[in-house]
Amino acid sequence: MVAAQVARRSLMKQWFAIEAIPIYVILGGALSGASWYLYRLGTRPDIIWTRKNPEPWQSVKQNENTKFMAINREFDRKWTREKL
Amino acid sequence: MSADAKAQEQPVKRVLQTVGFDARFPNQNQTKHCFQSYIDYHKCINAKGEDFAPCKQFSRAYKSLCPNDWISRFDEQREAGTFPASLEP
Repeated sequence: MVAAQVARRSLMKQWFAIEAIPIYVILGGALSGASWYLYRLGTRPDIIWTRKNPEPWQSVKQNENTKFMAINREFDRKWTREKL
Repeated sequence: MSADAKAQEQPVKRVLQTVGFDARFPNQNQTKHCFQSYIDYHKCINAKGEDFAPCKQFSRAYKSLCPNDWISRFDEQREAGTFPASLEP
């Protein structure tokens, strides 16, 4: 019984190393950043997700901007994805 | 004779222009724009008939944007009934 608890505690010490916390922080930041970027990519008007919205690019009006930054041309507003 | 000479003096004015900006296709890759214009032209033709003037806008768009190989391939697919999108209005 005591031997099992001692084994579990040493296993905990092994895989959660307190001196590796900076690595965990950086790794967590990178993974969350990558997944957030993939989510952003999934909201572009080129991507078709459901049969209910087979042509999402047709919902872009001529005065709407779909890009992150508009440099050469003036747009009235940013396009947002209404339907999945 | 003089009327002929006068007619030949005035050169025929041609306006060269290409497809305008389309917010649905803002990037350099205009392949979807080409395909969409082709589909829209044929949907327009099927709905309104061949002599409907506003359909000409789509015709100009796809003839400017699409490579000629693609246009002939699309036409062949349409003849064979294997065109990959619906052209029904």
